[in-house]
Amino acid sequence: MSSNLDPDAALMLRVKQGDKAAFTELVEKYKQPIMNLAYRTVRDMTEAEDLAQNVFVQVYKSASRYKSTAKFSTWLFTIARNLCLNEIRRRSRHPADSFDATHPDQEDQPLQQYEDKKTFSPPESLLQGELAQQIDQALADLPENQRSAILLCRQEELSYEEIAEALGCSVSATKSLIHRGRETLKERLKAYLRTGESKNEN
Amino acid sequence: MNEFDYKTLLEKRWRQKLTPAEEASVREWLAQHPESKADWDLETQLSAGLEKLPEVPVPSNFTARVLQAVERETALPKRSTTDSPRFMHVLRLRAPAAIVSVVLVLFVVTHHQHTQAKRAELVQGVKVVTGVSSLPSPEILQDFDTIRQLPASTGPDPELIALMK
Repeated sequence: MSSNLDPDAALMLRVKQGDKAAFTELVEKYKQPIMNLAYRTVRDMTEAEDLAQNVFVQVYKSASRYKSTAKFSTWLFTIARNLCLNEIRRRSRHPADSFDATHPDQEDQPLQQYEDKKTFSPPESLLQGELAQQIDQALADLPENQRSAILLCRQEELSYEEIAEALGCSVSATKSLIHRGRETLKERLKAYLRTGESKNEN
Repeated sequence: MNEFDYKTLLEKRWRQKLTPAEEASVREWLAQHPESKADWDLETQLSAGLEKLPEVPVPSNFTARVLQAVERETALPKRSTTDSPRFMHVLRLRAPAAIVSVVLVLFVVTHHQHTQAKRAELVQGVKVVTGVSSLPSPEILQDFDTIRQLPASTGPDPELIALMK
């Protein structure tokens, strides 16, 4: 094993050999950014959890195909984004799934299980400032590719090249997506951003 | 600093805070280009706002649930494709088309067999005709048309028979 191997790639190589501890380590490290991406894509806490869970299950199942030359986080976010896109497509095909619809693989299981909201607070309640709420809403209204580009841009470990790889486009196209998304956000949030000028340091 | 450097620092600010030296360069640039000041301020405020977006809460048992899901996935025996509901769904959708195809194939096969049988019969007929070794000479048939035109109901002529006797 090369000494300059990405530590996550090294963990993934262990996962390839069936090491559950290494897998747990990766889940612990990336569950937060994956949940952020999933929730800000589907805007539903239960679905975001299922989606994020599926991302990691997919990682485990695809471990044999993982090549250590690929950066793990890029590979992970590519899987996450693909599953998010699948969910968006599924929603557009079935805008309102029946509560009684059954799961395709388990006919005795409902298609979706809805958690009792009393046991879990949606993130809206945790949004502190009005600016954060407005940014969250404006992000939700962006086209999917612009939103994903901006959200992946928040991941410090990802370079523009890696964001481009996860989005399946060129670096210049990625920067253009971020630029256009930010232009829309600035236009929409102008009033809020100026109000918060004194509070927000550079 | 030129415009390209300014744009590069702007793109960098999308992702992270600038170093004090970079910030000084930007301030210097903005002093020379005051028309860019408002946009830079909006950019930095938006970046700060995005950085401050709250983290989405992750359930405390998230990792345990992922591991359980992985256990379930790995424990499941690989199902045959014919067991899957999707396969059955596809089968249901395509059954009418399959039935029509079978009927069509049966029709084509039957038609082919019928044509073959007719052809064999024809070949047999041709064989019979070619089997006739000799035909009467044309002289024998010279009065054929006259004989054919005689009335069919005409019986033996008793007068002629008497005379001949």
